[in-house]
Amino acid sequence: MNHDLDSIRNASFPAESYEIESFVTEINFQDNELRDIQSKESCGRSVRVIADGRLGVARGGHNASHTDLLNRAAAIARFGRDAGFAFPAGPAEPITDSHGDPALTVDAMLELGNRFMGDLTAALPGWKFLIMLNHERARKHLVNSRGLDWTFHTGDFGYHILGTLARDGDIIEIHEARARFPDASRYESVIRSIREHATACLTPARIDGGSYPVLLHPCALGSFLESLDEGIDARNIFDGVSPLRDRIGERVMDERVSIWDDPVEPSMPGFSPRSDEGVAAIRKPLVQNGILRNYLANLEYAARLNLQDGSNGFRSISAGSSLPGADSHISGTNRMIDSGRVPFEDMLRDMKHGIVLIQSWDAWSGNLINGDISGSLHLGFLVKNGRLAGRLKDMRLSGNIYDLLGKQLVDLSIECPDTIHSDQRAPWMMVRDVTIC
Amino acid sequence: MFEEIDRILSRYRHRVDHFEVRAETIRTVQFAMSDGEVRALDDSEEAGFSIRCCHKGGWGFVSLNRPEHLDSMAERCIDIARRLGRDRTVLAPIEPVEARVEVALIEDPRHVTLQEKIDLFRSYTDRSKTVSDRIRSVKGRYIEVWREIGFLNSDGTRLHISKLDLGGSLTPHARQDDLTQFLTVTTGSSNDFGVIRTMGSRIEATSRRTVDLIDAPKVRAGRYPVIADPVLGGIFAHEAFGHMSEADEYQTNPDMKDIFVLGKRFGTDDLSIYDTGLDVGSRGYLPFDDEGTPGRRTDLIRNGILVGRLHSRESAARFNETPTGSARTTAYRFPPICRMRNTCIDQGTASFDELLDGIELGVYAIDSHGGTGGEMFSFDAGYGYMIRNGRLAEMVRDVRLSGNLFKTLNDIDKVGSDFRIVDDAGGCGKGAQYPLETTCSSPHLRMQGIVVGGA
Repeated sequence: MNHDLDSIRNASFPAESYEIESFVTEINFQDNELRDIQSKESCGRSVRVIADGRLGVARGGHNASHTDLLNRAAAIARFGRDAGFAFPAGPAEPITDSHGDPALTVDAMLELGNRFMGDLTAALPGWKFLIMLNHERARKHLVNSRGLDWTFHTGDFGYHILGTLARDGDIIEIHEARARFPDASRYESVIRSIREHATACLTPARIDGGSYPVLLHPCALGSFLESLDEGIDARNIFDGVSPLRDRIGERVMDERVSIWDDPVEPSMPGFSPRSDEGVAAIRKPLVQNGILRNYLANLEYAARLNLQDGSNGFRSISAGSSLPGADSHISGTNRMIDSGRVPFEDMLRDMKHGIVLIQSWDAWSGNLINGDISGSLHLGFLVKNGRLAGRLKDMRLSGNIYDLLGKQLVDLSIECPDTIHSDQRAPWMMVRDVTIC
Repeated sequence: MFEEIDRILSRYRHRVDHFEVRAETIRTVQFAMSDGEVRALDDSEEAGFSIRCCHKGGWGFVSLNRPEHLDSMAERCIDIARRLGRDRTVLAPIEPVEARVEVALIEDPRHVTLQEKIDLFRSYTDRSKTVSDRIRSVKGRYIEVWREIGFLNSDGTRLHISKLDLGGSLTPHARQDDLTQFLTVTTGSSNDFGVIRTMGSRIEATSRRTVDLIDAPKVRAGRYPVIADPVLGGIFAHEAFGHMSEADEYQTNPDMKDIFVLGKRFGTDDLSIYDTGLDVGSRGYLPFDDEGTPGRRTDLIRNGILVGRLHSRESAARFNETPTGSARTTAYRFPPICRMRNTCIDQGTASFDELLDGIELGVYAIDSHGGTGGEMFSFDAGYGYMIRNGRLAEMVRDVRLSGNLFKTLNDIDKVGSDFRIVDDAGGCGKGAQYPLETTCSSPHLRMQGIVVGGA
């Protein structure tokens, strides 16, 4: 029992403590060689209070006392905004949840990295590989003055592989990543994917700027959906800048499109039985059969917009810090997009002259709130008569996410392949009349 | 702070080829604001340590924020390095240095109360909203980060560095029917709160332009000659070329080294690019990097020829070149890696009229919504104007520029004479290390055949 936390439990105004303790191991290979191992431990806490109706926050490291943080948060609350919400009540007993593998060893990670490196360099001589493996064992502990005491133990593993081939002044890059330790079949599928893409990249192709059908791999689709994330964020709804404001119940996409936020799918990294504000997680439709059903909200914006669900409040840790974020931010968990009825092979076979886009990395900037997207063809292929006919380069795709998922949608595939976006399950998507330049 | 890391250095330095230890305290004051309402208000302090060591070429790195774990983590770091080391430690030598570096403050933000800072941003919000009722929302952000860093290494370097990084931004959002547009007034500094006070002089004009963007058409997608303003020119220098100058990216890849061999022509005679840590007051000011190497100006391209790159001590040794003071970390949680400071396209000779001259149909791209680098770079302009028959014509929106680095450097055919240092409130990302304070500076540039994404 941490008696210091009693200052939170027994505070004379609504109060909450969020603490995260983390142990990270990173193993990095560069240019086909093991380069370094990094070991990081950190502990930070954040206290939020609602004093005289206003929200105050104070953060500190492991040695910052809750009493001190409570007093600092209360002092700063006079500058804060009207809270308008209450911290959730908890049951009489503390709750403990866990997810993932907290016990993964450095030796197991090293063995996987060495195996990847051995197989990839054997399959693709001349290529240089960067492999990063990361395991984080963490403990989140949330306590509030309404009796909630929730501990969540996690063990998250992920890896990222970047293959580079430099030849004739040209640089070719292939990325793969997953957020789970691979079993035999997933290991083989990642090796196969890298090998196939790397081989296909060796044949360059050209295409004139214009309007083309595009078969979007779920990885590229995931990058473009950042724009939708902005549109359904309750802060942008409240501020009146999202095109989805006041459109719950309206058709915003093609009727074949259903998108879910699913924090309770245990096989995916976005799993969390509660939000970081302690709200029980639920699977909910964002768009169902093309109809807008829900926004993503935390407790505060659920109250402001009078929404039933406020279970998407999370506390990120910025890269350079050990402290939880100063405020609850709104974030999706696992994104699930319902599959369609057409096999991928049929979609590809029926494409006479178009593009398959596997990856687009730079679609995060620009006017996302508006739904506008623009991404490079980072890994994209020309298709002629149903066959890949070479890699396209130095070109961009432009459009609007609501049009791509609306009037430009042709088909969704039956298959939902694994992608770099491990917190997403989605089909291939065929879209028409896409601007390429 | 120094006592603890002194003890750790003394105790462990002889067990590996190279040993360094860092202690850091970080004090952050920040708030976000939406339509005058304060959000995400924070006044926090944290402290942490990192240890990095190298033995026979094997690197270990640990970070922690419990001082009582310093010894056990030092042991772990040494174990890692000794386990991985199989060859020899490769580090370019630098002269050990003992120094105490203070911030040369112009206006100290600690002398400005939180209430005054908030009121300042509220007044900017009010001024923006009076421009038009199409301004639906104004979002602001203020951040002030103070760092005290102690750094010791086994070569004898002892540094105590105080740093300030502050930034502010204000983003009016205009909306009409289903269309939202926004532009940002942004600034940053490493020594002067006064830059926040001057934001007000730009807010009304920026708000008016945001409203005008609602009626502006999308730029028609295609390839155009493009004139980039100093903001975008700086982003180009940073995103397109600067990241490719970070030598640790290819220090052990001979094929990449062949592409970036010094003496090779990468651009036209008019093009010179450098990176410097010497501009006092800019966010990229860096008198010593995070390995203790003194800051300097590093020429990267001189008159179109590749003449340098950004080095850590390890990358410098691997290229048989000199450390450039470019090894940086966002904080104690990460090891230093090769990063930019203030990346500049050097002053040219062309007037703005000379840049326009000869363009039949082109785009004048202004301001930035961000971008990404690499061989295939892209960045988003805030807005633009079409250029028709050598004159500025209608305003356009959704101006996104992309291209191939090697081709585009050769397609810069004129460089303006209006060089400007540009500090904003954003940050640079590389791997997991984001945001790092950098500066991007440039005059106006003219580039031929740039891919512009739009309608």
